[in-house]
Amino acid sequence: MTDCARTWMVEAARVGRLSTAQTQTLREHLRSGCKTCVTEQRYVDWLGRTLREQSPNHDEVAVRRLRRSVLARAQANVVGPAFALRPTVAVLAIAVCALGLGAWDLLGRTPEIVVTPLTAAAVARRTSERGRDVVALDDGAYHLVVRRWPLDREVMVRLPDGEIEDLGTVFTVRVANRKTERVDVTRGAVALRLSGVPEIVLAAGETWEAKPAPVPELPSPIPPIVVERPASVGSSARPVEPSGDHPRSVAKHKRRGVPAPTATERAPASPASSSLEDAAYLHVLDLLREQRSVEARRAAEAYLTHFPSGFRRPEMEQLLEGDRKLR
Amino acid sequence: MSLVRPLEARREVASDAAIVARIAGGDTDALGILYDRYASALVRYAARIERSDAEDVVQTVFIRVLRLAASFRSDAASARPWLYAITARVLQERSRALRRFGRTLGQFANMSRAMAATSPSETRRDLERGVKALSRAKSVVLILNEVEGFSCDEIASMLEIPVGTVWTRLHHARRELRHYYEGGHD
Repeated sequence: MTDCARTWMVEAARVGRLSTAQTQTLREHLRSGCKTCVTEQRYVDWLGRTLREQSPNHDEVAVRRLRRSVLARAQANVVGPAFALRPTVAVLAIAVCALGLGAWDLLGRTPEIVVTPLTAAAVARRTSERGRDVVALDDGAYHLVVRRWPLDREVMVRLPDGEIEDLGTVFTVRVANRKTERVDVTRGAVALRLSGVPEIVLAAGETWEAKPAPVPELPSPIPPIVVERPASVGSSARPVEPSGDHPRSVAKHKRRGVPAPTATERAPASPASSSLEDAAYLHVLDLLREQRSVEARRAAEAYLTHFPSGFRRPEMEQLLEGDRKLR
Repeated sequence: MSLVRPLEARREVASDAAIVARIAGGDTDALGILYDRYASALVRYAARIERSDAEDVVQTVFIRVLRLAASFRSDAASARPWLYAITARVLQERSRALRRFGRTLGQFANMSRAMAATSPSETRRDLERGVKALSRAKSVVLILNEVEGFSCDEIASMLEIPVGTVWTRLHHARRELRHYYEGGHD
């Protein structure tokens, strides 16, 4: 195939085997237009470039899920066997464990999962994959309660852009436009894994929220145009009414003796936020009925954080002050 | 209001050598840090050579890191070559295990190589298949050099083979893949 005695230099240059003088010789030779060597050079360049461009698809979320498995195995390797059992004792221990697991199997190892859609279009689908229960969520808001024992099957909540591994929890998820917007954990803990975001473990009372898009800078308000009515001609021109929290709007409300509504108050409550608020309040009630006062206080704090203008704010505040018991 | 507890925000950025030293002491948190730094890249590397078991390979690598951490050179600037070396060894061990497992697999691989060698009209899209048809020894060296950017001297050190062996394997790998280029660039 090679018609030129210098073709070997093309590859040798690529792996750094040529001296400076030899590299210079090769450059001149290529410039002279040796077809064999030029083709060889193009080939090795093409091969390297094509190999680099072929990036195998790998699931970023799966890599992060693998992390947990790696660390669990590593931990087991580090701890090691606590002590060496005598063979008879070891056999008996294994038999007892097998009987126990068999009994557990009879009782059932399916975790209890309750998914409550909080918006009209919210759709959740439950399946079983590779020995774990999977709940797939589409756009919408959901309230989830998962009750599982340590040996129960894993529960995974699949999001359009990632997943949440349940570690025995009550939590709320909001998804919009195929993106996870918010996760509130009211009991237990979850591991949240989303594309482009490091894994986050959220404990009870904690919230993760997607970064809002940067608000575009609005130009400074244009002062209203006042058209002087000519003495002889009628005019329908009126001053432009300022809107929003413009100082003139506030001044207008003050003149009327009415406090200017804030942006939060003026915005009508969406059905989704009302449902979330109700779910959060009911959750506090559940905890109190179960006499889990510490978790109830945390859930009340979470309510006040998420719903500062919530309808049941006074009740939550009194709960935290310890003055009143909700029935 | 968010109460996010990012895993890495509260830790100092430690060097790879410091991290590996902690791993040698049994610190599995440090293993998690090393995993976060390199796992994705190692999965991509393993997937180029053994797509279906790339995650399993990487899991084996990090478990082996626990055992090998004590032998890591503390003056090394980065753990990257070391981790890639472990990955390459795991890939080669798996290849040898597959050959011991069944000759039919080897025969299939031979058939694939023969098919690749006698199909000069295949385009660059089949280059990936061609790489997988290479022997494990050649594909590991080729990917480490052309894709991951390691020099031949580094590869020789990582795989504990002479640098001349690295050159030879690269040369043969390029020869075997040549017809994919000629098929699309006549």
